[in-house]
Amino acid sequence: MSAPEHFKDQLYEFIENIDEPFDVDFLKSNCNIFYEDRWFTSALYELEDDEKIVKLNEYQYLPARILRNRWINEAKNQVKTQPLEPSCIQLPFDLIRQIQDLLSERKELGFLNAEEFIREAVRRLIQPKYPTTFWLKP
Amino acid sequence: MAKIYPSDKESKHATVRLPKEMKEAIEDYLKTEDARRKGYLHVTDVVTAAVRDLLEEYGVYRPLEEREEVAKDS
Repeated sequence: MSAPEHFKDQLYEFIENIDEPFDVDFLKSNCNIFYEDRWFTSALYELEDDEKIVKLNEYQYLPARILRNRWINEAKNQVKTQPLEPSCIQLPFDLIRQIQDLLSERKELGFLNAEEFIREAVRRLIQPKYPTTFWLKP
Repeated sequence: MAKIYPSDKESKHATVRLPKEMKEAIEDYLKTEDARRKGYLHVTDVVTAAVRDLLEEYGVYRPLEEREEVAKDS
């Protein structure tokens, strides 16, 4: 392994778990041996190319793994705070009973429950008005 | 004084869940001239009409008066 490659590996081992943006000065100040700036910039350039780190601006970087974890956590929180709740409406019982009677008598229609029947009914009513709406496609 | 409704009174309505997008599409439809002409004011009006249409298509739905007559006869 060449010296620059070894340096790159060592550098990545150090920055892998840094969860705050860092720059070359920070890396230099935490390095036991003195290396010129070009060693760091060159290694960082390659790590960025390998998609192991992300360049945030002209000077600062962040490990891709940290960014990915943050994105996943944010997405998880978003799902928790904004659950995809269906909308509820009130329908006459009599109508529901008629649907249930029909579904139990004619199983060949293939509706699993009254809600599925209702959704299909709405689709049929609205479809001619919005033929290109995506959710109306089977 | 707050009005107290009898707790044992049977509800005449049932709650049905619709996908959010579907409800939004119905709300969009309610804004159209077609919906106004047909007298649909609420999401429930559209859903009820849609269900009646489909029940009618399968030969099930009968208007209330007709059903009451059948009940009296039986």
